[in-house]
Amino acid sequence: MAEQANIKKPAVPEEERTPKYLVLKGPDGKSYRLEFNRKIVKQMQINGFELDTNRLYLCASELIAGAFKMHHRWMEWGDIERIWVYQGSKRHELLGYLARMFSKPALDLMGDGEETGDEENPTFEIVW
Amino acid sequence: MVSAEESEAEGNTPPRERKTYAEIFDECFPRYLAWGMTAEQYWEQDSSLVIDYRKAHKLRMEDQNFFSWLTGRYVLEAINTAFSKKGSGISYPAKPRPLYDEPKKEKTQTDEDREAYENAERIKAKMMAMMAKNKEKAKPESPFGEGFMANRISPPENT
Repeated sequence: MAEQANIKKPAVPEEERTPKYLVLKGPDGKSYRLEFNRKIVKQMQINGFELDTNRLYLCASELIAGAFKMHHRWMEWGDIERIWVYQGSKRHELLGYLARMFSKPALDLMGDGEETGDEENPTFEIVW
Repeated sequence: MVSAEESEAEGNTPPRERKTYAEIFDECFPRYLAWGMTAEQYWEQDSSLVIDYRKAHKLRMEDQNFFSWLTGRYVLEAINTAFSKKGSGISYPAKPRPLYDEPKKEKTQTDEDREAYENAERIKAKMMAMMAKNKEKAKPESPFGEGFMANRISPPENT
């Protein structure tokens, strides 16, 4: 006999939530704010950028450069690369955040922007 | 190569047109402009600002809905008043109805004193009026009619 269980959706873990922006510390001790707005996302797409979440490393450089554009428009790629290398082992995690941040301007237009995860899900139940 | 029509004929649904983010942004832009957002806010500032604009629009619509309902209610009252018979007690409100319940003011000692004094004065005035009425009723009437004594012949003066 199938046992029925009403599974409450767990809270969205921090690493899966979409941050508004990231603040990176550079080797010079300065802070750099990484963020996307609609203008930059649109510009990147016009220039041919396509986000592939399965192969993030293929589009990483463009994604990182785009994230710097909003608050550090005139930064050169060499400086950006230096800051990026300085992040060490956290780079992969940061890249995941950047990918989600890239989609945020579009997702904000559709959802209500709340990712609490503690709302009940009435549309389905899991039967074991 | 299978065309879209052939694919549909086979029972396969045609693939949905995928929109880029840029297309979605362009599509939504006029709507947010209509809701009062500036182009700079939409394109260059915090992307989550649109959520607040959407919520604000929803609140505005709720307000508009409420005021439309209120107008309808006033119109209904006006019609009721116009078609009601005289003396039926139906009248159009002299003042607009309060939108929010006013908080009840707590009575202070002076308020209570004044109220008690006013009540006492009212009762006193009523009692006085009643007493005056009773006095009037209790006054004995002359069996000879009013003004009998006034028409009496005065006694001759002593010479």
